Amino acid sequence: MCDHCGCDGEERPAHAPEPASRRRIVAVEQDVLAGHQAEARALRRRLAQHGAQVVNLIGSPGCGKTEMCIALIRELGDQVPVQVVVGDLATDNDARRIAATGAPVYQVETGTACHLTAHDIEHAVSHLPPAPGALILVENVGNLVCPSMFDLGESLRLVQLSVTEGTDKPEKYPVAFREADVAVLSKADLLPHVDFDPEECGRLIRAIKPGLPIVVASARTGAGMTALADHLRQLCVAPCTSADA
Amino acid sequence: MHEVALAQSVCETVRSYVGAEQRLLRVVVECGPMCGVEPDAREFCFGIVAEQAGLAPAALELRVNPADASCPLCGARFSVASLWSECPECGQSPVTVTGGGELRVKEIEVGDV
Repeated sequence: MCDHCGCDGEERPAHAPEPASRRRIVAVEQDVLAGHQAEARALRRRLAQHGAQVVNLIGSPGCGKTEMCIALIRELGDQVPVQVVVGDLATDNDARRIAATGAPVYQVETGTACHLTAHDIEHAVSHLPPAPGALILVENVGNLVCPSMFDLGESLRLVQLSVTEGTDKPEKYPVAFREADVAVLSKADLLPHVDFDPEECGRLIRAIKPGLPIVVASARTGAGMTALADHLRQLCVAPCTSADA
Repeated sequence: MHEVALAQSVCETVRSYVGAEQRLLRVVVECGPMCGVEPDAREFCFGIVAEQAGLAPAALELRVNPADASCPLCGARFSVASLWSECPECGQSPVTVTGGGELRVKEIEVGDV
């Protein structure tokens, strides 16, 4: 007698197969972001051929990214061609503010997406071809979480935290700081009026990423802006290629 | 909600591994504690995104692996589940965390159509 179903074994009717026998495991072993990363690497290489570079500016909504872009244009605009790409869910309000400086600007309206991707930047530079040697400032969608995961093809990533947001922000959103090349503590002109401890904040940031340069700056008064602009000037002197290695 | 964008990337990653006569049942993704993914949000949306991508409304299994770390004071090496960890040998905090940002499709489970 058949052990499986109790039939006498003479006619051997087809046993109902175990559902599990129809299921099987297929090894994949692929990085989820591999496609995005390949696109970012290709964009970085293509821009480098024109001597152009992207700076990815990440920070919460309202931390002053647009004002920071305007202040960086003031600092750098007479030395290098500065172009700006702005990402927001909706409106071209930021692009219009930046356009008033005279710098070329392109607004990406992402709809529902909470971050820009290298694909968005590809699209933007097809509308706004980079001048030779251009610095392309990308103001990412206001968000301290999601943009951290997406390489835009940048040569430098700036994370911005305003002093009105709270000293412990780096502790709550560590990935944004860990993936950054420079941190800027903005709205420094408001320090006398808020309960923010720049030294403690700096200690938290360096606990996440030892040695990360931190600049305390005010786009409004210009304090610290030369030091911040120096980090971008260094890019123009020594273009970054290590990310493609 | 970058989890939606990541779920779409997962679908694109696995699409070519699902045969014409097969149906995607489950995807196993391994990640580090610093990969920036919120497990609950991701599990919530994956089945919907997979169905919209023309795959079956598959389940997502997210396995969070610990990250390698070392102590800047005593040099001990160990694994951590978070950036904010103490050295198990000498109590030093912060510790130096290397890796932890991985996000990788390990395997899929398929069944017959």
